[in-house]
Amino acid sequence: MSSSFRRSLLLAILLIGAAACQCVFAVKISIHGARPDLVLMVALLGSLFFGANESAGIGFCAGVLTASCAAPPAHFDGYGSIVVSRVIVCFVVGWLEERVFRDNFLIALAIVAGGTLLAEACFFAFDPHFRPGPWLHGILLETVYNSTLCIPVYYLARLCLKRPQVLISAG
Amino acid sequence: MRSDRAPKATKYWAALVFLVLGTAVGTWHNRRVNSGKPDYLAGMFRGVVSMPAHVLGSVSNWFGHKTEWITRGRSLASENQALRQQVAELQGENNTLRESRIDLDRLRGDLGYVTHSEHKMIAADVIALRPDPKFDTMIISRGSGDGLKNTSVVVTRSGLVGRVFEVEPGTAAVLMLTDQKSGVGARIQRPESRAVGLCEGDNSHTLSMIDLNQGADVKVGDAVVTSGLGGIFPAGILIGSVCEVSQDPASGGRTIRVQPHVGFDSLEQVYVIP
Repeated sequence: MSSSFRRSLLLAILLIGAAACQCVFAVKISIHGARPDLVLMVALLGSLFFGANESAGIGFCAGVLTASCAAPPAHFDGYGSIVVSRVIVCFVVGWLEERVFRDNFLIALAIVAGGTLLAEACFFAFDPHFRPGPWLHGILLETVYNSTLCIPVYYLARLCLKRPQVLISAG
Repeated sequence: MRSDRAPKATKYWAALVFLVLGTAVGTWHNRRVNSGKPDYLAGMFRGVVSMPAHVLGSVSNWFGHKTEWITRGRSLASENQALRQQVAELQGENNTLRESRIDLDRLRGDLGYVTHSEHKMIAADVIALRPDPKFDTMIISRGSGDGLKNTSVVVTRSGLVGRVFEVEPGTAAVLMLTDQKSGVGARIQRPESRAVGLCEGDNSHTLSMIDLNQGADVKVGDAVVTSGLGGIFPAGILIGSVCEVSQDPASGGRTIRVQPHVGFDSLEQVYVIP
């Protein structure tokens, strides 16, 4: 099994596991109405270990998974908005990874916080059916929740998805 | 920083494809659902998630029931006593109602009154419960293969949950009463009132009852049931109780809030009236 295929398979398992946990535990672990978005968090952390194009693919799969489980009513544009917002935010993370990112949990923390805010802002821009006050309150709490949970998930993702080291011999 | 010399126009073509694909998938989904047809892509992804979610849910519920006494030990004795008292009261009320039912059946028979048949119900497990806080929706383990339709009604023993708005062969999506896009024709059950209105959700834990007549007789504690008007929800299903009646000084109108009887945060199994 090639390394690339193995990493993709592990990421798919992580995303499906996150979606299953989101379906079962989202309400049970809610604090003051705030719930983490586990699929988005795993997609953002996964994008740290892939390039821009692959990350857009990760965002697409995470978006369809989230939208299928969340089942937004059809008269919203919720389904497509969720998918497109995830594609954009994961692409941005993958694009940045090609330039500045290094392997560090603080960067992962910043990525999850910023990525959650960006994804929800994109969603709101595409589908502005929500009252801004409660929406803003909800996404700030969600961002804090995602950031808190992301550190252990980051180490799990790193264990599963880190690129194999290429040794360059001198001389 | 790494340098990148690849031509920019072609380098990120895959990302652009995913962006276009995402828009197309969203549009296609809305068209399919609005025309009452299943979205096979969403159904496939739900199918993939439903098996691990079902296992996780079963384990979590089993563990929760087994360890409930640890967290609720102190309150169980007083709750038990209150429930015993409530059972005694309800047994008395039930007896009276049974007598009334016999009288009603006899009188209906005398008048040749045609009664509605009892609804057939299908039990379904909850696979996903409000995974996204923006939408009050859930996924259940029954679909078009079990006879569910886009307008099937979902209830529990406590009352009305909502209605199905999207069906795939093995799963269905349910719009809960509390969602901001949800609305149900409602009636005050008290015989002296029988006022008719509309219960709407707003993503909070209570519903807003609107479109009542100006002088409608509504009191806190009144039971609210479905009116049957509108054609989707059968009449007489319990929605909840009036928990607030207040006057709006600006408009002069009344604000009526209804507390649903269903515990939306702890749903494990529901019944569907296909």
